[in-house]
Amino acid sequence: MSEVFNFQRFWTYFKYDLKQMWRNHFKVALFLGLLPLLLYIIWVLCSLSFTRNWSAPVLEVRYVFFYLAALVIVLYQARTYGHLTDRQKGSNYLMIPASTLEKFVSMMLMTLVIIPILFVGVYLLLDGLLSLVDPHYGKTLVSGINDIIAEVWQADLAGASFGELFPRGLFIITALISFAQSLVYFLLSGLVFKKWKILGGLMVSYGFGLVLTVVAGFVVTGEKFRSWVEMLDSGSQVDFAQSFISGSLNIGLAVSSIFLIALMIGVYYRIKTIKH
Amino acid sequence: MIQIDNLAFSYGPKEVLKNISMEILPGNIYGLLGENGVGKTTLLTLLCGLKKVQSGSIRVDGRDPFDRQPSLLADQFYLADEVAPVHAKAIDFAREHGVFWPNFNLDAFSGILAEFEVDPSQKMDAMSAGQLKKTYISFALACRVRYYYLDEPTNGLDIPSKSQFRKALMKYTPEDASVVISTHQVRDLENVIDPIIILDRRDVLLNASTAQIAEKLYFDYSTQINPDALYLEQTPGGTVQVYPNATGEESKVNVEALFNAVHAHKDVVKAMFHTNL
Repeated sequence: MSEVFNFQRFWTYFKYDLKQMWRNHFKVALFLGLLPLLLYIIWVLCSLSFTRNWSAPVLEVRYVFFYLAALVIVLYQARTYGHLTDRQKGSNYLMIPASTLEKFVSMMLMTLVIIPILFVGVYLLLDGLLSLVDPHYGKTLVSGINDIIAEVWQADLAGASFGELFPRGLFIITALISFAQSLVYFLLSGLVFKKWKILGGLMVSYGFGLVLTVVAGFVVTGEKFRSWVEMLDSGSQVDFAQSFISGSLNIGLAVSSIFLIALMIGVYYRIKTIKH
Repeated sequence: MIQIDNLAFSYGPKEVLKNISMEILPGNIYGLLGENGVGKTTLLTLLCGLKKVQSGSIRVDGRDPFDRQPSLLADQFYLADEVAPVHAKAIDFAREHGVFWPNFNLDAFSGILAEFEVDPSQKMDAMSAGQLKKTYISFALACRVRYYYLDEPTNGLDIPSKSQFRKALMKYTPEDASVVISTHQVRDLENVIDPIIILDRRDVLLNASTAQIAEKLYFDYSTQINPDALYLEQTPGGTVQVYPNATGEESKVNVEALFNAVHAHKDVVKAMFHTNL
C-alpha cells in the first residue's frame, strides 16, 4: 500500500473528515446560507411594524448581505482547521494514520468545494425560493448579478467594450480563483497563527499589500512607464488603454493563479512539518 | 524495534536531550523515569513523530517517525498527558477513529470502558478530566498496536482505575508490543514496568530490566543500617536501603528507592550497569 496516496485510505479519511466538519463547522456555513430567510423575516416584520405595508428586502441590501456572508465564510476558514496548532487536538490530527497528501486533498476539498457549495447553494436556493413565493421580493440575486455583469460588459472602455477586452469565461475564472485564493489564504492563516488567526491573516495581507505597492511602484516607473508615455504622446491612446486594461486583467489572473498554488503548497508544507 | 542513536534535542538555546542512545525491544513495558524537565515528554513526542530529531537519529523498524508514514502511524499510539475533549459521544469517537487502526476492536474498547465505569454514550466534552483520560486509554488499548507511547497515563485516574489500567494494559497489549510509559507515579506502575529507563539531563542513567537491577543492587527492607548504602530512607515499618548486591541474593526492586539511589550516585550506577554514554 502506498505511503503517499492510497485511494481506499483517502476515502476512509475523507468520510472521517466530513463527519468532523459536519459536527464542528458545517453548521456555520448552513447558518450563513439561511441568511436570506432571516433577512426576509426581519425585513417583513419591521416593515409591517413601522409602515403597516408588506415589503421585502431590496436587491441592493441583499447584495450587501450576500457579500458580508461570503466575507464571513472566507474569514471563518481560519477556524475550520485552526485546531491543528493546538497541542492536544493537533497531535490527535497528526497521529491519524493517513498520509500528508491524503489529509491535504481532503482539506482542500472541504475548503474549496464542500463548504462554499454548502453556503452558496443554500443561500441562492433560499433566495430563489423567496423570489418565487413573494412577488414583493423581486428578482433573484443571480439574475441581479447577471444584469450587472451584462451592463459592465457593454461598458465602453477606451473605444472597446469590456467584454471585448476580457472574455466572460476568463472573468468567471478570475472571480473563482480570487475567491479560492481568499479561502486558502485564511485556511493557511489558521494553520500558522496559534492565536488571533483572522487578525494575523489580515495583518500579513496588509503588510503584503504594502510591499506589493512599493514593488509595483518600482516596476511602473521603469522602462514600461516611459513606453506608455510615448504611446500617449503618439496619440494612440485607444490602443494603449485597451492593451493596458487587457494586460492588467490577464496579469491579475496569472498572479492570482500563482498565488493560489503557492498558498496550497504552503498548506501542504505546514501539515507536513507542523510539530507538537 | 526502536533504535535511538546519539539523540539530541533543544528548545532554542535550552538543551533538553543530549547524547541519548538506546534500544527499545519488542515485548517489554518500559518505564521512563526522570525529574521534571529532563525531556521525557520530548522523547515520547520524538518517538511518535510529533517532533523532528535535531541531531542523531530515531529509527522505528528502520523508519524515521517524523515522516509520519501511514503504515507506521497505524502501528503506534501516542497518549498525551493531557487529552483533548471531543464534541462527540465516546462510542462515536471510537467508531470513527478506530477505522484507521487495522487491529482496533470496538468490543475491547467498550469492555475496557465498562471496567472503568464510563458510559460510552456520554459526550466527551462533558466528561471530567479522569473520565476523558479513561476514554482515551480505552481507545489506545483497543487499537492493539505494536508501539505505545504513554505519557503519565495514570495522572488523573482515581485509585480503582489505576488498578484497572494495569489489568487492561497487561490484558490488551499484544505480546510483541513495545510500550514506553513516562511516569512520576512509580508506585502505580511498579509491578508493570520492566525494564526501567532513568533519564537525566543530557544522559541515560539507567536502562535495565528489573532482573538486571536486582542482580546488581540489593534492596534491603530491614531495620539494620548498612554503611555501604547508596540510598537510605526511613519508612513507617523500618527502612528501605539500596546497596551493591555483593552476595547475589534476590530482592524486590523498589522503583522509587532505585530512582533516588541512581540520582544520588549517578557515576557509580552508570559504571555498574555500563550504560552507553
